[in-house]
Amino acid sequence: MRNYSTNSSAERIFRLASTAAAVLASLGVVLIVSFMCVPAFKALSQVPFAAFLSTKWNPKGYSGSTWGILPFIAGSLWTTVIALIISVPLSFLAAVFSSQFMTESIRSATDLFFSVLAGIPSVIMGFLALTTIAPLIAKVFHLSSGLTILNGGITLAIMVLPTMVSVLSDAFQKIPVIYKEGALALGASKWQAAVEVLFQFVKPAFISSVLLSFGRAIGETMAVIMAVGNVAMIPKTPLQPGETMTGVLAIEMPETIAGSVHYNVLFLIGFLLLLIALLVNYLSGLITPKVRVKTQ
Amino acid sequence: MRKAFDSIWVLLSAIAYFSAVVFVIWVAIHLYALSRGKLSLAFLFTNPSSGMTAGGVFAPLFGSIYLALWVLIISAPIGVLAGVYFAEFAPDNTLTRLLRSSIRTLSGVPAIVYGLFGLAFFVRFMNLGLSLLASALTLSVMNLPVIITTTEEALRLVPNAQKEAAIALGANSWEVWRDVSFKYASSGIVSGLFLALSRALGETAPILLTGVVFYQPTVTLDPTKTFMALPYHIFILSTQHSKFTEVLPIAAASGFVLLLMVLFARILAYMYNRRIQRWL
Repeated sequence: MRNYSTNSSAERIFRLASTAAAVLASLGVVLIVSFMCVPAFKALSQVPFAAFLSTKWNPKGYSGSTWGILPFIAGSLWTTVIALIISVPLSFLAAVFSSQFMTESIRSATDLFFSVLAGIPSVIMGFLALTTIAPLIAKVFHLSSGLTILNGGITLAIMVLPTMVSVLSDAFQKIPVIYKEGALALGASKWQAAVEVLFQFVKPAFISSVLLSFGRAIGETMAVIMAVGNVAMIPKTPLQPGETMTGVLAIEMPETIAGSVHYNVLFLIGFLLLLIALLVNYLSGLITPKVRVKTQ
Repeated sequence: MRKAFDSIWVLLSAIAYFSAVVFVIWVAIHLYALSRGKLSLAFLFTNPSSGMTAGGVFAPLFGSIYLALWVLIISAPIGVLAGVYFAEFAPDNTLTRLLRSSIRTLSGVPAIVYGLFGLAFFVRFMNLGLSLLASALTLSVMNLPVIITTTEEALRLVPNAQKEAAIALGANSWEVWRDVSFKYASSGIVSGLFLALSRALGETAPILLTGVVFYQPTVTLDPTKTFMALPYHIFILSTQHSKFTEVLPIAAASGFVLLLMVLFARILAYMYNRRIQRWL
């Protein structure tokens, strides 16, 4: 029975260690939320709320600072919406092709490329935006600089593409083949079957993929900094420069004094980004259970 | 008529699909072309010099690899064990369900938010200062959700019949895990670790606020010191350098090196588990 006792102590240690790790990870969740909250709420007490809703951001002004965060919210929304406008139709087409018109053996090779595309570091995407896409935009639209909202949007569109294609083509593949066969038997073409019949089944996954991409695009930092020109103004057209919420954090945070109003306001912007991520996740979680029920 | 119309759509969707494949290949070729022959073995093993307009990437490359090593040492055991807990031991109650969903949510939180957290918690509250350790801890926190989720999902795919057979033979939960679950799930877990590695190598925003510096050519193993990292090196060269055209080939060459490392980690992740969430 000596064996038994060592085994049961190994089991106890294993159980204890994994519980401890789970507690530690959960502690991380609590710490992230609280350490983002505290400076953010300090900012809310130091600066009147209405001051944030201005269009002027000037944290180091001589005659007093202005804390309007609207330019950054506008910049983030502009770039994200442009990214979605470009990538939604493209990824829908790509997902239909991958799930309906590809053989399994080719797909397993090309899926790797989508995984790789999702993994290209954002700083490299930013480098491409800066050195390749921006000059192109400047040339096409006759601008002095191509570092514009449009540049950021195009870069983000490429970055969120794999998310949408993966979610959508997985959803297409989960549909029981009988529906497709039924549509084909009724005389529909393969394309009609996919778009007019099968799309009904992937609608929830479609919405969820758009939400996930929205979250990814609005949270992307380095690629956007290198692409949009970083001018704290509300862009009126996509051909103007702008600055995003993530951008102002990455650019100004290293220069702020810890604990200053500027520092706290930047944390408030970070807290907003955290809230957006939580909201996006919550909404897509509301939709996902329905995907399972409907496709099984 | 209808058929011809459909064929056009199919053709368009094929173009959309394969343009992503072409883009990935184009990125590598384009970076290589922009580097204008700067790439060589010597480029990897010499430090940046003459105001970063000459020399190689030794210090940033070393910093990135050393940082990734620390990230794996910190996050792999905690992440895998916590994943085991959620798959095997967690009671099915409101608390664990809440924790599981909040950990999943964290994988969607922007990298820069982790940077702010690292600055507030590790750098300032824990008093680690701007250091490699603070950056490694920040990236570890960011990677934990990925490792936990992939581990948990890999363990859930282990057939129950196998586990039950082992239990029937008298194995306790540790033995079941060691001899059955781990063997089944190991490739999924390893895949998650490679995914975490690729993120540790490629992320810039979290380390930007927690300890990376733009010039520090002396390489040290001391984790309490600041460090150089490849992604930040590329960022600085292409946005903050006054002689942009001069350093462009160096930035492109550094980008090529970084791309190869990250892609290698991701290809391994994909080879170990094809069902992996491809967008993470």
